[in-house]
Amino acid sequence: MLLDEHLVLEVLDRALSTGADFAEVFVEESLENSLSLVDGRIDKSATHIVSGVGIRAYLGLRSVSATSSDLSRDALLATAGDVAALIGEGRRIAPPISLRERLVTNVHQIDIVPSSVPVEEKAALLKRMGEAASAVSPMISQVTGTFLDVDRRIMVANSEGLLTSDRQVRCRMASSAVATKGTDSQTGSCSPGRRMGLELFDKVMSPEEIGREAARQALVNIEAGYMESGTYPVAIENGFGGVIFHESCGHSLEATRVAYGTSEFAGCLGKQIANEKVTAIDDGTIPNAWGSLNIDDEGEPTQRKVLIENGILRRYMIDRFNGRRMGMPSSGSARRESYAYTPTSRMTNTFIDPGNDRNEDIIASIDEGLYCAKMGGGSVNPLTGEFNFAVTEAYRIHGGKVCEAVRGASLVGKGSQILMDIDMVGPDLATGQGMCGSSSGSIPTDVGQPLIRVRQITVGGR
Amino acid sequence: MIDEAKLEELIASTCKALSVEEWEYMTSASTSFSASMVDQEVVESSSARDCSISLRVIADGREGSASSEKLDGSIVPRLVASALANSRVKAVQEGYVPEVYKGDASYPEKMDPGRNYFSAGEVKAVLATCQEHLFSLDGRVSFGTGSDAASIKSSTRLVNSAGLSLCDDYASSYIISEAVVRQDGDVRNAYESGEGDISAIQTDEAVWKAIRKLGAGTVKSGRYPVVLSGDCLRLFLSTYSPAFSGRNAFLGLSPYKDRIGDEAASPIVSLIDDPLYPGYPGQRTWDGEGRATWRKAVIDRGRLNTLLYNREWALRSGTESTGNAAMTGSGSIIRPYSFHIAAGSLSFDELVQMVGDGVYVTDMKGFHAGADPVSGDFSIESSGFLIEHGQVSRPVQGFTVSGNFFTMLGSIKALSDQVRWAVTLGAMRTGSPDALIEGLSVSGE
Repeated sequence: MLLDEHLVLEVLDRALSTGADFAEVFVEESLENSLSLVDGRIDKSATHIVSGVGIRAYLGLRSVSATSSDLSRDALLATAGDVAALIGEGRRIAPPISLRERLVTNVHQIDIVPSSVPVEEKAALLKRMGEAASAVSPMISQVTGTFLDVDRRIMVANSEGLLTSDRQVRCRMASSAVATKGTDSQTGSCSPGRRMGLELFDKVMSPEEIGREAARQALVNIEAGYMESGTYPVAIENGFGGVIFHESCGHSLEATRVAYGTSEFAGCLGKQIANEKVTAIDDGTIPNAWGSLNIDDEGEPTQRKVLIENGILRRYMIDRFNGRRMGMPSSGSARRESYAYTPTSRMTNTFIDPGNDRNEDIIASIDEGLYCAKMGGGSVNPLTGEFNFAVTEAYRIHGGKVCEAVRGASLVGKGSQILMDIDMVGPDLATGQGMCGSSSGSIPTDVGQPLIRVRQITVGGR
Repeated sequence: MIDEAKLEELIASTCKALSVEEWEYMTSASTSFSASMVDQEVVESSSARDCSISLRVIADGREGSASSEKLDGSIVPRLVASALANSRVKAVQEGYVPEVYKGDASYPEKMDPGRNYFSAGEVKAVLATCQEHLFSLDGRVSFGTGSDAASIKSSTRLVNSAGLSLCDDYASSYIISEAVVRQDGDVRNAYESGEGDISAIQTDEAVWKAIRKLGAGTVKSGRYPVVLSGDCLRLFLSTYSPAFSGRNAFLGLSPYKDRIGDEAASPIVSLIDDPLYPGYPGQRTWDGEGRATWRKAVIDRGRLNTLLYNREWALRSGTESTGNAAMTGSGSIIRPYSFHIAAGSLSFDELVQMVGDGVYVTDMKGFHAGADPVSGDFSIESSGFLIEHGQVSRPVQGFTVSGNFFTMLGSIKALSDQVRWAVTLGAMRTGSPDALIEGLSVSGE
């Protein structure tokens, strides 16, 4: 345990002393190592230690929190005192606390713990990526890359008696290649990550594959023309293409907005919000997936949640605090970047489930349109559902066939509309890794889908 | 938290024991309070007492870094050992010998930043007044309307083995309101924010902006003269500020390598980096390497005048530091301060009259995905208004604006006389006036 159990009790008691009906202590000790590569050389190598406590209390539908990077007894009690002073002015109403430890079953096997590997070995992996990318073509004028490993230890205790902890290890390598032709430069990237150790490079992608993939994309884009803007049918490939669901719908199903009625999908449980071909899932239980957890940042076991089943909205993603306002239990969806952020409901690994349409039929069904092979990130306004996302590798479709590459496209639309317009879903699910930003900070999430067709969508081009 | 004198002594002795020749560290200690109000309730509030340390060591001619949010005596040996291990893999760079700086003879004075710190009680009182006011402005203001406010004060200290010891204190506060309006089944939201004396900041404009969006339609695809609001153009500056880093130019990650003196923008454009901009809560008199800071025109009346440098990339580029080093957990990086396009001379109405027929873009989002910082290409989801016969007319939404940032700088035909600033709680911020762009591609219906 990161904190002595008796001290945890003292802190909870202090936070409850002025009338809060619930209190929670979250302690974190994390080690983050990062390396960056540019011009074939290691440009930065750094180690960062995250250490601190976040203490929260609720009184009805009000939440108060305080954080401190000082884990000494005096600082912890002072931080709990800050919470107590802000939450109320009365006397204790909560019953005495009896902490009971809950052991977490770890489903994420880690073969090579990154913190046990010398930094020189990690640097060598990054250099292999850079050399492979540069070797693809003389047009590759620059390759940059980063390698990040995180070893996060958390402990959560609350006034309902929960005492639990978890260790979360993850690794990611990101490559970015620049292709140059005359005065024109275009980029490509590849950034696989997993909740696993350095076996990532044996089990998922080798450093060479990561580098070559970034270079390949950059070379496709440097030769590509611009897509004309307009409204088209589009086929969006599997993997990071799943960002379409993440942005167009996922954020709008988080209790953070639903609880206040400021999501376009608030009050829609049981209603059809998507085409019947769409079944969408948020699943934090997938072994070693980038967005997976054992427990969330409130200590609740993570879950597999069918959010949309054949077009019908079945569930939201809910944290404990917003669940109070909604009258619903937590779905194990509370996440925070670190102790310094207040947790709220977030996604884990979110994807559209495989369907029955054949990939070749999806492409053949489009007379004039766009095939989005690789997607970038995006963003959404959950109130209105207006979203956007970038296409990083795309091809024009003529007469049911994938033709020349085009660049500079982005897709915009409204979540409720695009969900209805997903009218073909292929069989091959794949995921992509991203860092999702929201009020509780930047967290790792997977997005995913099979190849899908969107009947029509606005394509921004030139 | 460890006493400053003890910390310095401990770092010096630990470095000596591990044969570290030179060292430098920056500590930061801050207290902050933030609160969120939705409708008439304070739903969340939070206080924080944070500290951190970033350490840079030099051994065998190589430098390495480590940082921690834990700051007590026990962390020092681990930090020094980690930084030393990191130094062993960092490449020795041609033209650059790492060192710590003994300091400048003098440093500038801060301009009076005004009242910037508010207690928890004051923050909550400001929020309550603000929310009540927003709901009183118009009957269409609806549930879900909320405001967040925060106040922070921070103390930063830079100490090194060359005897340098610098200290800086700053405070900052902000308020941001999201107005939600509903009418006949149409729901819209808009934001307004301000930084500094939050008791004097009005966020009414959030309501009026949201109301003006009601009934938004679409725009026909085409190439239009576009007025980008200052809030939109400053988002471009945030995305593309790395292009003005000497490092990125050196590495071919920006088009500005060997371009000093060349035309880089329209002659009416001056791009300024000012660490001491009046009213900027994050004013800095020294940079992360201990050098004095100063105001500089990166683009001066359309011509590229300088790039931004720390010591490493200045030496490798054969020039001098511009005082733009920021010390981070991964060592020194290049960062602007108050980075902005200088105001022009036209009122907003005069700007719109110049357009005739075009599009006024007030909201853009998705820059992190839709804008390529290397090529300059962008395609961004936007909303705003049509401009017809020199007047702002009906609202439009759901379109993208596409182009290339570096060529767009050359297409700025006019600038308004007011700079809109980002709210950053004292960190790097960008600002811009409204700008008339000669022609941009708009994709709508």
